[in-house]
Amino acid sequence: MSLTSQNIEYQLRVLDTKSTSFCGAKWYNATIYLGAGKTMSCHHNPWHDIAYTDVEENYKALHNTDIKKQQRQQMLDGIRPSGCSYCWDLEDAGSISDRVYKSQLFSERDLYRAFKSDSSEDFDLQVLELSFDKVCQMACSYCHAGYSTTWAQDIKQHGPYESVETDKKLHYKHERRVEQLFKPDQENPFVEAFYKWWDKDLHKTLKELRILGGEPLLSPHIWKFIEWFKSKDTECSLEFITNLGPRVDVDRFLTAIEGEQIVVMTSMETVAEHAEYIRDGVDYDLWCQNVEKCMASKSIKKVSVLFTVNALSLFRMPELLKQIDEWKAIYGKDSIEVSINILRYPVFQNVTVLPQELRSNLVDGLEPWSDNSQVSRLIDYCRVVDEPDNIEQVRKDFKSFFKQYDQRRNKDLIKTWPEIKSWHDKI
Amino acid sequence: MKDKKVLVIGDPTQETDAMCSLLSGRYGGKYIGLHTTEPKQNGFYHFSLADVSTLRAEELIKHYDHLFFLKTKKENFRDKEVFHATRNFLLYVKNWNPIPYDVFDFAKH
Repeated sequence: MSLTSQNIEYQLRVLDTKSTSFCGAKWYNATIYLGAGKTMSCHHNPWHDIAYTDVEENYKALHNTDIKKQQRQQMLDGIRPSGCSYCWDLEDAGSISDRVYKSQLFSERDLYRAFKSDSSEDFDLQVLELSFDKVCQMACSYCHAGYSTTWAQDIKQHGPYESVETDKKLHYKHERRVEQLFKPDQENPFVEAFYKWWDKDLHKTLKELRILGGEPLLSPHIWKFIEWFKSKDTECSLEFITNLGPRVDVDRFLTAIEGEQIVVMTSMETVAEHAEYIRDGVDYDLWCQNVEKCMASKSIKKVSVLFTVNALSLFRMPELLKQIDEWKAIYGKDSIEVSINILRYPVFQNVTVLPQELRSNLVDGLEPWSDNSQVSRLIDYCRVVDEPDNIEQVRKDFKSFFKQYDQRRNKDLIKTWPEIKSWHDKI
Repeated sequence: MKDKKVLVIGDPTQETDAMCSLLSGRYGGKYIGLHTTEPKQNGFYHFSLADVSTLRAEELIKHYDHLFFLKTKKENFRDKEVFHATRNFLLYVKNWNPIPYDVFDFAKH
């Protein structure tokens, strides 16, 4: 049976017999932002507030919020929660959605237990992405103040970005201070609730714990957390998503995790001055050194390089893939892997902003890696995907945004990408 | 409070409007009512986090001199999501002090 057939069979047998909107992630999977007091059941969902008053009475309310309980009941009743539209759109288009892939992370027995549950019941998590705060020393072009204090500083110092019409979510207009509820030295009831929950239940139920930021290795909470995790008896795997950038003390990190088997996930999608332009604050050579330190460490199980493929990263992406191949030859083929995701928002940094012929030509350079399904999917996407209907506005926003980005960050788009000058001048 | 712009934040019901009116009378200010843009004149305004997003609220409160949060029980909020957002917004104001605020408990007055 092909993989597609297996997934369809799973969906029909395991999920749709419960309800056609049932998804195990609503019960067993979560992303929790402790600094913002927000949660979502998977990364496709919009986040919502966790009630700190509820958490003080019941630490499981970190995940088992009133909103998720309402959505669970909707799923049990066969109603599609509106926040899960990413999956419904895929299914309506005849594709297999992420609710199938995500539900497969959990046993059929646990899914049945969720199906038979009362919607008021609290569930313990099995997969958790956890952010302590949004402290970050970098301000990548496609990130925003909701995930980076340096981005917030940009907006505070220079004001909102103007004339970026497709920025409907105000990513480039707002400091988003309200998404950092606590000062760094303040006690945070959400953090306390997480530790209590771990001690009571999560150390037994969690299979994967992924630590996010901001930049998690700059969080004031992080060293205490690592020491605390090491002292616990658990089968849970621990992963860090870190930018391995300046000010990240990689040596201290590697010493702190000695004896563990950690997965390091680190974002990068191109090389050298292209990387340093897009990922403002990164030092590409330092990043390479830090990746090598991680691969050489006995405490690092694997390094996963997260590509957030955007228009500007396409030009020298093959060089990064080549670098990763070289690392595999030195450190072993299982020491490092790639995870390739196509940036969707902001839409003016999506690859479709580029002329179709240009993006098709650029991905020709990725052909040597096309046996990787993620690379081949990217190649197909760049060659066939249509321009958005509002492409003229999207391109105007590209030009307007990067003009302001250059001024604020002392950069030069055209000096860094001279090959787009004639196209850029015509926008 | 007479010569100030005062914002009352509560749940999205007529009760919040009534409380705004009551507070304006108590403090001698002009009652203005529901308002979701920047205030132009002194007086007592109100909105809920069902009317504006939290990010918009963060911007709007900078244009006021004083905030009142109406103390309302969770079960009395029609929309739990708005209740949680309001409680966390209060937490933000309490911790970062962008402007002076009070929590107004009608039951105690």
